[in-house]
Amino acid sequence: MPHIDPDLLSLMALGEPVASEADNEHLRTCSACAAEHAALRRAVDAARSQPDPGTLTQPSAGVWTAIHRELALDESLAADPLEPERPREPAEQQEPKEAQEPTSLADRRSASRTRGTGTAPRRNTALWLIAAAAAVVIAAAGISWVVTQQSQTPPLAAARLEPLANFATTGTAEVVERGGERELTVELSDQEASGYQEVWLIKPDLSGLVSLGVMDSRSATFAIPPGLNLAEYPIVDVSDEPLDGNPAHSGVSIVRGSLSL
Amino acid sequence: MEATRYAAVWREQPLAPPAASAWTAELDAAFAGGDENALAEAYRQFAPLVHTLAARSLGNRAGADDVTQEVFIRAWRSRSTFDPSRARLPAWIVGITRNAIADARSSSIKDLRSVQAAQLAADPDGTVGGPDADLLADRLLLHDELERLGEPQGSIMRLAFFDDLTHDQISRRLELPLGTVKSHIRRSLQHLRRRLEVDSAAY
Repeated sequence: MPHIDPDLLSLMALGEPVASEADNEHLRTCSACAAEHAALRRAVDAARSQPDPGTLTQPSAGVWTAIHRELALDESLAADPLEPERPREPAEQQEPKEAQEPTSLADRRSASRTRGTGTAPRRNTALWLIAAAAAVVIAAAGISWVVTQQSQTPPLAAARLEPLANFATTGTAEVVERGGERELTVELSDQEASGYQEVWLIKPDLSGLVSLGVMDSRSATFAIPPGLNLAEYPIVDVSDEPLDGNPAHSGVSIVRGSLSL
Repeated sequence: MEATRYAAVWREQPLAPPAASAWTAELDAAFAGGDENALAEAYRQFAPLVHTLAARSLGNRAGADDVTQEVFIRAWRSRSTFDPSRARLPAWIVGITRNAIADARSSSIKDLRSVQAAQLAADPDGTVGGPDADLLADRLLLHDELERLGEPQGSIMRLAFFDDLTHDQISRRLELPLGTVKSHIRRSLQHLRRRLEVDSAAY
């Protein structure tokens, strides 16, 4: 019997029920086709999977110190970049010491969260704000693409707001038009800010941030400046701002989502 | 617990379709340009994965710590050979990790008297880190590859992977001939599969 047609084998690797009895029998007995199928399957699994980073092991605390010393990096980078995810020393804790040392990454993260977010280091937040925004954009591109394929009339712009690390709040954001003006309504499940909450619209590449205002409750509506193109500023972000008089984004975001336009 | 778990993975898995990691082209450029902050960010995002892959292969923590240290030192020192247009940094780091693990294994095998050699038991069952470590590594190797496929291949594969559409549904949705969709799927899958297979040879 000839080998399985390469187009067909690709569809089989994707899980489409396209194989005949004879194809399946061939796959069971032909090592060449089976190996090809397995290799394609690995690519499909990698693309589709959502592995849990919480199962990973953590390097010892001394590893970064050794790298830092060996490469003579700047003094400002002396702290272990993984440190915010490690449990804090008992002296820094507000709460009584936990009975057990957290073992998994997920445990460590939840442990540091219960100790409050106000002390979380902000050193690298700008970098990962950029990174997280870009990740949202990749996702948003996929979603808006699907939406435009499904309907020619744009649906009501809306976003699901998901918590960032160290937070558990979720929420929604919705754009409605009222009397010729656009309004953004944000609803949150909780208020976790250690300072105050501020609502932003952000460009995917972070080249622009528009502050819509302070949010002092779990639900608030903001006017969107006329002329502001939401397609250019699709990311809705609620930040935790310290009372420091600095008008810039603190780099600490509580929830974030991307408007489907 | 469920909410916390979700919060912990959000940065890597924002919304569907899931992004492989929060690493960006800007960070690629910063790393290549010698910005030490980008090295620290790379360590923050990828050191646990590097460590897990090493721990599974070497069977001990001390060896995994050594490999992790070695990988990031090598990555930084050889950053002039890092070419973001050829492979993104996450994939490059996975490649360096595989090489460093191979080096660590061969040097441990040579030194039979060392205590570590006695512990040199690979972990084929994946009890350290579980199968998720391999999947995470594969995802990093495919980082941004869908975006790089171009169109309509990228859209076709996103619909196939994340919306679970069949090839004839995709054909109708995109108004492309069935044969065209099928051959794009075959070529795109072959491309992704090659990215997974050449990683250790390419660095």
